Amino acid sequence: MSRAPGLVLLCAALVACAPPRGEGGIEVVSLQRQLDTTRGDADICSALTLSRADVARYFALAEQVDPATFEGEAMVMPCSYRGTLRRAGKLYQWQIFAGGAAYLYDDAATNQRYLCREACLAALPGLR
Amino acid sequence: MATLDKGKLVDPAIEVKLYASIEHGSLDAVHALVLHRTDSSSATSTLEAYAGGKQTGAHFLIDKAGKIYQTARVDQVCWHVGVLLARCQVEHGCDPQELKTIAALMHAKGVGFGTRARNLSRHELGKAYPSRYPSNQDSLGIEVVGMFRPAQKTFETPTPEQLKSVKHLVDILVGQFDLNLLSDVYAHGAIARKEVTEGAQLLQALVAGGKP
Repeated sequence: MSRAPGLVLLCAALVACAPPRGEGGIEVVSLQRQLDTTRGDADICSALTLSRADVARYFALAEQVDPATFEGEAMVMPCSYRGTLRRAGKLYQWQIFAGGAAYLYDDAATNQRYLCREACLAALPGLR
Repeated sequence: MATLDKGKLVDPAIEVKLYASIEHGSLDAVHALVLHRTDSSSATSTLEAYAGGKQTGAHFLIDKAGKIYQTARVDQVCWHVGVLLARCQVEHGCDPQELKTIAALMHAKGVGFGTRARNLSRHELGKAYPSRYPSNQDSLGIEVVGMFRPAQKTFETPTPEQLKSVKHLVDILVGQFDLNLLSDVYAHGAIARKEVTEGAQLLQALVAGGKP
């Protein structure tokens, strides 16, 4: 009995020290804005802003698609954000483009494609 | 020498394997060829996607061994180009009024990135080729199997067999439709809202004479 308050305190401390998790158990470790200045209309990019929470929300809501669907539907705009995230203990790199296309990959077997469709874009209006 | 029979290329190196789902009506003129990469590791997934009713696709597919499949007739439109870039903007040839129009479309208030890009593409389609880049309505597409590597921003290096087949096919089509190899063959990434590197290695090898 006497150890219970200590345990509660220890648990609370552990929770407080744990890295913040976003939606879908995703922890966005880093993010950085990217600009493809080789494209003539890269000046539209100042309108794109994504937060860490947005990135976690994106990967919780976007649809993973096969490469053929991605090749057919994805728009690769000159503005994007890229960075790293941790999901289920594994570290991945990601890149999300204005308009809603994205990659999630690592140095090994993961090389995924995502599209942000209506419900996803409604939750992330800045990406639309 | 290859011949055309009702939209099908008759050539010993080409296997005709047509998919109705990627044919979208009569293609009245062929002004250009567009070189694509599949972002897949084999032809199977692309062919299975076509067989499963996928609507976007190109007229030809070249696998890693260099085998050429004709997947749509050359007198049929395929949806393979996507959202066009503004040619005069990319090539720094716009007159001041056109630059203003493009800027207005791309900076339109209250409109999403995707819609702005599509509106600009629609505006481009109002121009005649070659004032704009080729579109679905006046070009043939050639898909070449190869994965995209996001970390390097490049596609898998095409195999020597693929490059040989691309050259063989492009030579046939350039002759058949009276095109100019140097001005009417495009890398997809250079003309549309796709990865900049898509098709670039293929075009580079073609221009260099088929060397990898």
